[in-house]
Amino acid sequence: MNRLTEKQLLILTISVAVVLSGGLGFLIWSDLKTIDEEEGKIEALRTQIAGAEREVALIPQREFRAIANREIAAREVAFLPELSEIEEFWNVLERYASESGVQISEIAPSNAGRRRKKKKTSIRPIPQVMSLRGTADEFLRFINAIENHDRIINVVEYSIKAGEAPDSDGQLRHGIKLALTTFTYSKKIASTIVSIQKYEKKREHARVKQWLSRIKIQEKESYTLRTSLGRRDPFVTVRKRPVRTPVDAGTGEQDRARQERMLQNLVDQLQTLSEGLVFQKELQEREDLWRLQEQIKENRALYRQLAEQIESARQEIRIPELQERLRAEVLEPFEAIKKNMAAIADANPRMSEVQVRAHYDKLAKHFDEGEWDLLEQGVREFLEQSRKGQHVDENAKAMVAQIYELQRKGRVIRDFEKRKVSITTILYSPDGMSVAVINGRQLSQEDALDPQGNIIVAEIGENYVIFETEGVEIKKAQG
Amino acid sequence: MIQINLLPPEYRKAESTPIARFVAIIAGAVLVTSALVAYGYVHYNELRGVREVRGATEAEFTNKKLQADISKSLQTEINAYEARRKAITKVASSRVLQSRKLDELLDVFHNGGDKSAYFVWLKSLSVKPPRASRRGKQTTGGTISFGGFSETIEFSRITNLREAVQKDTFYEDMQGISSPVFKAHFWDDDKLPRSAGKFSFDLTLKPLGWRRSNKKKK
Repeated sequence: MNRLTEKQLLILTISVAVVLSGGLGFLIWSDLKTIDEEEGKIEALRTQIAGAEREVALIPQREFRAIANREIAAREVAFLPELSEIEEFWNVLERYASESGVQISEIAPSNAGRRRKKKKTSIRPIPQVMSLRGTADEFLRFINAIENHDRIINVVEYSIKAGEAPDSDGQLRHGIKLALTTFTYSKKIASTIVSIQKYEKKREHARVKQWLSRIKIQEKESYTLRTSLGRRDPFVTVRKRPVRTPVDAGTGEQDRARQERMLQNLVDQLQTLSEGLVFQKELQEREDLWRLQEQIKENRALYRQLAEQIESARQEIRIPELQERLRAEVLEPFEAIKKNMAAIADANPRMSEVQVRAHYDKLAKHFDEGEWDLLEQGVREFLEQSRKGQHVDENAKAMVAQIYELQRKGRVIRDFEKRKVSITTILYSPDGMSVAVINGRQLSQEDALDPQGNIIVAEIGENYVIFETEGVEIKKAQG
Repeated sequence: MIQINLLPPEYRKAESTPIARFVAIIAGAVLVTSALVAYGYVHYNELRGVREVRGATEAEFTNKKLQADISKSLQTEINAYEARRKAITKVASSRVLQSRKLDELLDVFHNGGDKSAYFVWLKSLSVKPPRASRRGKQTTGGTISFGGFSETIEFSRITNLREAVQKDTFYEDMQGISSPVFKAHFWDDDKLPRSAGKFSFDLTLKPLGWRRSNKKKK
């Protein structure tokens, strides 16, 4: 091999140096580029972190607001039935129809509004149409009972056509078409419900109370009917066939007997009505509100019937002696009864504190024994008798709130029991680090039982677990 | 002069590296070494450092995002409650207590039993809701229509009825009442009375929730 010349060696040396340093320079440049890219990504992440921090800073306020909304939610929707309660709707209508006297001939769901596509909202209307028969007063009491029902039912439209012929009981009833709407809501307020730590403590915070004071609970309006004693049914026609009176102005023996029978009938009915009014007063003094309502209804029906018969008798009784008896034994006492009935009807029977406490004690017993159906029925009866807790003495109103609370807690516990929670194992630790296996999952204190975070494990004892949901604590034994 | 070195090679003086080559080698060595050092610094110090910072920032972001999602879920829940509240308000305020209106109207027809001003009996009564409006607010709260007969064929009785309706508390919820439609009517049967004044009226209700709007204005 020939030796390289000096020049060649020089060139070689320089080339090697340039190649090596050039290669290293490229690597440095590549790394610097990567560093720039990484710094760009870090900057973008920091911007996103700043945005996330702004959201996180709002958590305390949002927690207070969410807590306020959750606390008030049950009261806000108090007059809306849940989906599961819609089946009660028809039972309610039937009950009010029976109490008022109207006869339901047809009920069908309404197609109104189905043609238009409606936006999905949390509240869904459920329309119904009905065909009824009843007097004006019966229909009025029916729709009043519906509108005063503790769950909202709107009377949307109706039409009354005057009846043509009286029914077998002598009452002239009219054909009525009625359209109603009730509303229902879904309990699930959002797809994800966040579990809030230290919920009970935060619930007492001033900000929560501030939010609660800002939220106005919508009240459902109700109406108390006026006294309608002696009020004429305007749909009853006054056109009648004229009464044929004998030529000798009713002095014939047969006609006299008829008039006497008519008069005696009125006297007997007047006696029955007087006794009914005495009994009504007794029931009022005894504060037996349930039977009092029935008696009032009976007395009013008898009063109306008597008023009509007296009107006919005035025209038909022609014998002067019988007319005098009519005045003394029927008309004058009837006027006195009219004033008496007006006075009693205006009086407002109220439940006393003793009565409300008796109801509360009975409901508390059902609650303690877990008799949820009886509890619901008892609360419903109490609300009907006391007109949703309005017709009670002032010093009993606090107990009405306690009855509502019993009902709410009962519903919460009943819903919890439907979940079939099973506690298979408890690893108890006195320092608060206990763990329990519940429905196959290992949970500790403050963990949520359900994905929505509505049911929290509040405490784990040696052989029990206390759950907390919607402000109610439920203790469940192991097993 | 020609110089010949007669010393054996092992005794000869070693030849020194040429200056140019020497300088080239030194410069090349310095350059390569500097480049190596620089590369080592950039790659193992700077780049690694930046990657570690990015990793930490990503972890921080993941954590913050979880909390931010919680915050957004809370706001979604609050919005859902607000929307339900609005819907409930709308349901409650778009309600006419029909039992109250009917109770008031029946009292007007009865007039305390006084037949001197007017005495009527009805053939029909109908209450209809307002038509759903696609744009803007509803202009009425529905209609109440009734028709029947007046005891006599005197038109003044019907105007008396109309006045009584307008003066009663029943009319507070009304926007207007139609002019009376009236006609003398005769029957050809054996019932009494044989003639009466046939009439009908239409009333328009104020838009639903007008009482609430009035309270807000006050």
